[in-house]
Amino acid sequence: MDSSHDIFAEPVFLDRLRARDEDALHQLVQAYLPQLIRTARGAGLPTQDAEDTAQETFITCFEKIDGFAGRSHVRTWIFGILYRKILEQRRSSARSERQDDIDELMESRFRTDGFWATPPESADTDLYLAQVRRHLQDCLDGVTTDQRLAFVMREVEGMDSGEICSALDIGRSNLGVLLYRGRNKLRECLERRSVTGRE
Amino acid sequence: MMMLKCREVSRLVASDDVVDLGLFKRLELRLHLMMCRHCSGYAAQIRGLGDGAREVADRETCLPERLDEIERKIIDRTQHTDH
Repeated sequence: MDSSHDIFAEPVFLDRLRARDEDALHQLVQAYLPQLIRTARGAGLPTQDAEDTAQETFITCFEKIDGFAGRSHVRTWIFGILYRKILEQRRSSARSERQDDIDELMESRFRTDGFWATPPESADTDLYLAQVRRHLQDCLDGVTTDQRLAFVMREVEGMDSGEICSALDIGRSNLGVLLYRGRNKLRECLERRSVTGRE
Repeated sequence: MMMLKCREVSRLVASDDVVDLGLFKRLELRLHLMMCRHCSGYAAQIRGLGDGAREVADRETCLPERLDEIERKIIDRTQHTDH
């Protein structure tokens, strides 16, 4: 996040929001509405639902702004609200499972001495990127809501670990597990598609 | 001799735990990635997922008019629930 001139981190900005200052509301919506919609879509909501969820997130945010103490950045707080709304819609459990099939699959790729038994298929960078562009959306369907959110917040929104952990209300190691499982599922899915459907 | 094994490298790369590594381990990881083509290929593919996701997201960004429309709804509803 650009912290060189971050008006949203200033206490006076929160005071303006609490006073329902229309300019402040406008600034906040302008800054974060596209991010919220993108993240909700990344989490698997259809476009209309993602837009509605982003809208409801702001409504809740303005309803609850008086109770927001400002201990975290306002963006982190808004993403936390978005996350809970997405979970309600996806009826997803809030925490990653103890076991995930991808762990077993990854384990099978290594020998007991820790070196690759089945290394990744080598791929030309441009060709791989073309595969990602083409199949990412479909491959995301095999990834849980939590894993998708962690992936999108990190990769698309560029949020740092601390911010994602606060928004999702999880610890650093849990975030590592979400990213590890999500990325490996995506990579495996892309590899399967490029091997079986090499076009 | 490589201290880090490929299994650990894949875990560090895909979980973003690299940022928490000490200087020595980080150096070890860089050396491993330079020497092991399987791990460097794996790491490039993990990075490629992020690059691709950003491209897809950019392509699908909401139109400005649509964003204005949603903002108007938000402001309207906020003002109606004003105290």
